[in-house]
Formats: sequence, C-alpha cells, structure tokens
Amino acid sequence: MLPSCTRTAPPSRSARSIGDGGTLIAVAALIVLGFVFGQVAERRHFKQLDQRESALARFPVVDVARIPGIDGTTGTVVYGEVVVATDYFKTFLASLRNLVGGEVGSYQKLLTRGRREARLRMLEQAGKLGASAVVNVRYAMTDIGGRRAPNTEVFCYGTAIIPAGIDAGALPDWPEHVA
Amino acid sequence: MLVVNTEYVPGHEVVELKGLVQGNTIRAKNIGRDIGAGLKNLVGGELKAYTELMTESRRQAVERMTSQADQLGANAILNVRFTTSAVAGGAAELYAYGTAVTIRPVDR
Repeated sequence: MLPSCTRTAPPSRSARSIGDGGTLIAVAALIVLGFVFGQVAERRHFKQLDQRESALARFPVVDVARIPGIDGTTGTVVYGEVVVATDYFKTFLASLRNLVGGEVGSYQKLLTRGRREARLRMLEQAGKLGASAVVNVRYAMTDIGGRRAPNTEVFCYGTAIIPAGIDAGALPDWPEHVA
Repeated sequence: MLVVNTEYVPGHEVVELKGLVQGNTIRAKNIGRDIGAGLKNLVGGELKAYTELMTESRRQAVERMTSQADQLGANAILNVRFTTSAVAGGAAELYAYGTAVTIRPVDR
C-alpha cells in the first residue's frame, strides 16, 4: 500500500521539505555543537595535561624492569585508566577522512589524550603510595563498542618501587583508582 | 598478597613457584550509562561512567586472581598481565593473569 493512501490528506510540499531540512539542520547543529564544546574541552585538557606532567617531570618512569641505582624494599602494581570518546565533529571529520584515506588527525589527538591521562593517573597513584619510581610500564587499549565512534579504553600499568621507610604492611593488594 | 608486573619483587627473593593464576569478569553496560555516554559522544572527552565501570570490573578480576593465589599458598603474584576484549552485545571481558609465588625479604 502506498503511504499516501493511508493518509487523509497528503502533506504539502512545504511541510515535507521542512521535515528533510529539519534533519539536516539537526545534524549540522550537532556538528557545530561538537566542534565548539569539543575543541574547548580538548584545549583545556591538553593544558591541564601539560601542567600535571611538568609537576612529575623528574619522577623516573620506564618500560624496562629495573633502573640501575634505584632499589626498593618492595613493590606493588599501579595503574591508571580512562575511557575516551570523540565528539560529533571529529566523528564527522573521520568519516570524511575515510573516503580519501590518510592520517586521521582528530582520532590521533583523542588517543594521545587518553594515553597521557591514563599514565598520569598511574603516576599520581604511585605518588600517593610513596613510590620512588615506576618500572615495566605497559599500555593496553581496547575499543569497548562505540556504535559509530570509538569509545576507547586506555589502561596503563606498571610496578611502583617502594623505598625503605614506607610501611610495606600498609600497602593495599590493589590500589584505589585515582581519577 | 603482593601483586607486581615485573619478574621480581624489589628487596625480595622467590622461594617457590606455585603456578599460573588468573581471574576474569565479563560486564555489560547498563542503559543509564549508555544514555549518558551517548550524550557525551556529542562533545567528546572522558566517559566517566565507563571508566568507573572498567575500574570496578578489573578490581573484581584481580580479586579472583588473588584468591586463586591464596588457595595455592602463595604470598605474591609476579609478571601480571591484563587484557580487555569487547564481546558481542556491548559487553567487555577483563582478564588478569600472573605467576603465583612465595617470596621472602632479602637480608642486607
């Protein structure tokens, strides 16, 4: 059955074009919204990351198992975790990029934010435990099922070297997450 | 229980190897969290509800791993590794594994 047969009065041409235009306007509004809020949030986050990283710049962090000259009385695992998502504007940019190929700069920035944030949370946790260094650092990234855009989980972990003078008995099996 | 992702514990020596221990959990997001994340997808950034969910879940996987090590009579787990996999239907599996050992402090 044709749709027009079920209607008592077919919609006028102008009503139909407003409907289509409305969808377009809504999508455009979402892209603009994503652009404005996404860019502001991203710039603020990068600025905050720079500050937190410079505060911890002298803290030894390596992805090998030992640092010559740094020895502790015990150790414990430390970790940082963050799930990041793109904004509507970046999703749109990436879908355009998919047509022609090449580097997807918007996602590259997003994953960089995620990695730096997860690493900082790990270091802040290590700092709370009184660690003198973090060794054997590993990153794990997983897409946890965003329908259209990536929702990426970034997990960063390593072993904190606990120096003498810190009560090893008071250390938790699994430290509290620092967010 | 001492948990590290290195093959040694600083200031300790391994006395006995007990074997591989592991723990996992599979978690689904709930609708409330999905709606919040859907909104957040418009403007981007951290999805705090998902971060919390993953943190809670990983803690559970680790607890299962450490209780296995407890049963073996170990007092530490070395070389711990973590994996996360998305499984069908918006759920994620968190898996932790490592080698259970007994250790003792080194006299110096």
